[in-house]
Amino acid sequence: MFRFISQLAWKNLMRYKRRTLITALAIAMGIGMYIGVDSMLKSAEQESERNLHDFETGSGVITTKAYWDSKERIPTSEYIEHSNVLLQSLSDAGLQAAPRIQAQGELIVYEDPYPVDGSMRVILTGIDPVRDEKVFKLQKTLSKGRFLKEQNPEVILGSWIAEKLNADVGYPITIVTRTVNGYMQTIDATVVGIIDAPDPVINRTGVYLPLEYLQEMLEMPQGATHIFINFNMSNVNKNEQKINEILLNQPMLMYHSWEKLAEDYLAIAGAKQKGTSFILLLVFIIAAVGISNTMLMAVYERMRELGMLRAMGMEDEDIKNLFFIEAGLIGIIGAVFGVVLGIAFDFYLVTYGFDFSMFLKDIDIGYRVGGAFHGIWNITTMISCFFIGAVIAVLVSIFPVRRGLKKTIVECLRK
Amino acid sequence: MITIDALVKTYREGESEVHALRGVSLEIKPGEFTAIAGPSGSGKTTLLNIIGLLDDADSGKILIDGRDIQTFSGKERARFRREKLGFVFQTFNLIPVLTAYENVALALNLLQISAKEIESRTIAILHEVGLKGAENRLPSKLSGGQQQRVAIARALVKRPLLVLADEPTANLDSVTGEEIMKLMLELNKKHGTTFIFSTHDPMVMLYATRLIKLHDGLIVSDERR
Ligand SMILES: Nc1ncnc2c1ncn2[C@@H]1O[C@H](COP(=O)(O)OP(=O)(O)OP(=O)(O)O)[C@@H](O)[C@H]1O
Ligand SMILES: [Mg+2]
Repeated sequence: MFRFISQLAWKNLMRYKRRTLITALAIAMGIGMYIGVDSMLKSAEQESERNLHDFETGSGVITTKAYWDSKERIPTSEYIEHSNVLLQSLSDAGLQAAPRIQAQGELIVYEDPYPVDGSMRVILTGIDPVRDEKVFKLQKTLSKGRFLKEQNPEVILGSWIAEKLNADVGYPITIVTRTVNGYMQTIDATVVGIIDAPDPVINRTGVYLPLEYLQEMLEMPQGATHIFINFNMSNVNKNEQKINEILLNQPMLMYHSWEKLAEDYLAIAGAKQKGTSFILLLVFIIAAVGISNTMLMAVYERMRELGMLRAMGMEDEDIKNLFFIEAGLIGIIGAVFGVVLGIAFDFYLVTYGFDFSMFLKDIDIGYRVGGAFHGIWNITTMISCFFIGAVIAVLVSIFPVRRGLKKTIVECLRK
Repeated sequence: MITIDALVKTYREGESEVHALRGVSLEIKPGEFTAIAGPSGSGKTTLLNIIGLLDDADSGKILIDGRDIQTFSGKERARFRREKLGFVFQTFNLIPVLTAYENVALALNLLQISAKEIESRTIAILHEVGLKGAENRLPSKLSGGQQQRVAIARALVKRPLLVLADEPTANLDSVTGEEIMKLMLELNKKHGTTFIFSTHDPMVMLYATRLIKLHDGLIVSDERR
């Protein structure tokens, strides 16, 4: 009997080719869409983490405890005093490290060469042009002009902030800030380079000056607010242990892992992950509803046929199996198409990506993804989507088949 | 072979009640070719559905082949229909994806019959109903009359105790309808199969060897010819 039913199911699918195809395509659309969105969001998360590491946090950072406790205010005066000594110890221990200063400031530009006068509150970052490269990839993202040279009053700007100010290489720029002793300090600098980083936060907010020059201007010789460290993330414990040993006789200082440093970001990431799950849930629901709808239609359309099979004395169990086998086969065909579609989406995303940068210049959606959103190959998602899609197709057909079997045969036949 | 006693069926829809059958009693002998006639709404379909185990009566008794079908479980009903009953409907109700041959064979596929026998019986009955050469056509490629022939073959191939045909000619033109009646009568004579069919077409009634007239859920006349 089972063999006969399977054959009948197969005939139904093959002879209703158009319906089978449409139903399978609806399922495929749902599955393909889910795989594509999942690929893109997962890739965005990975890229965010990579960018965060490459441009903002490194593997971890050393600051003074006092700085850390009120880091939201950017308390530059709580800097690490003899950063060079510490850098030497880190270097001796085989660790890559880069000192940075962060300070609040205001950029001021005047008409000619700028189109209009203007000012903007920013966070200034002092970087060591040589050492910075050991931790961050800033230098590689220079899109115009040249990188900073030690001791010169020079500025490098993120591409979007430069665009906003209408700044260009060679333009003068005035920076007003406060020394660590509380005095006003005015810096007249020249824009020497523009960076275009994959991390949109850098493009949107980056204002970089040479470390030594900034140390002088802020009255903090040899000082740095942060010492970022870069090490192989596959050996976190050993490296962190090394760092903590070095800090053993430095009670004022503290090491923080990149996760802690990025806590704010990760807090967003947490919310975002909820957002990601939410988007995926939405896509899942849309896909599931699409699959359900087509399956429901496919069964309801055949109420009469179901009634005739009952009138002919086919057992309810066999009728159920007939429809479930059909649904399962459609589900599998749809899932195969869906995965193929998903692979096509993924391929497009991985090779080209979707460029949302037009919309992302002014708003921070939490992702550290500049330019195009790419995709990753999400094999696990593909496999689970394949099975879930096929299973949904069967589960969903249970409902109308049951209803058909609950009705009287007369009702089924009348339709 | 069929004994019906005081069959009552009432449909309730909200407040209103429709008395489809109000006490129908009759007896049908093996091999009879019975027409149930009567105006629309007189209860013909209801009666056939109850005899065919497609619907339940509210009260009354039916014995088919000596068995009280009202005591049957769902499974027993399905089995009874599968083994003993053949149905022909006004709208043919063929399975659209199956060919003429497959539609007929389906009735036998549901029974424990060897593939070989299924084939020979299916072919034989298709030839008998005049569908030689059309075996592999889908219902959509057959005329109404041909479709009804497939339906008749499907009902008869299992060699049933009883064939129930609800207005088998209503969807056919009069010439084709008459052909179908001739075919049914021929099969009735040849195989001795009992037929009960409903109609309100006087031409169709002419073919019946017994004519039962229903009116408002009651039998108003019953004549053998
Ligand atoms: N499912 C139902 N619900 C409510 N009323 C029904 C139902 N089925 C039939 N009836 C009513 O029962 C009565 C008998 O119906 P039935 O279909 O048996 O008549 P019929 O003689 O076959 O008529 P027709 O010649 O139009 O086919 C009619 O008044 C009809 O409206
Ligand atoms: Mg009727």
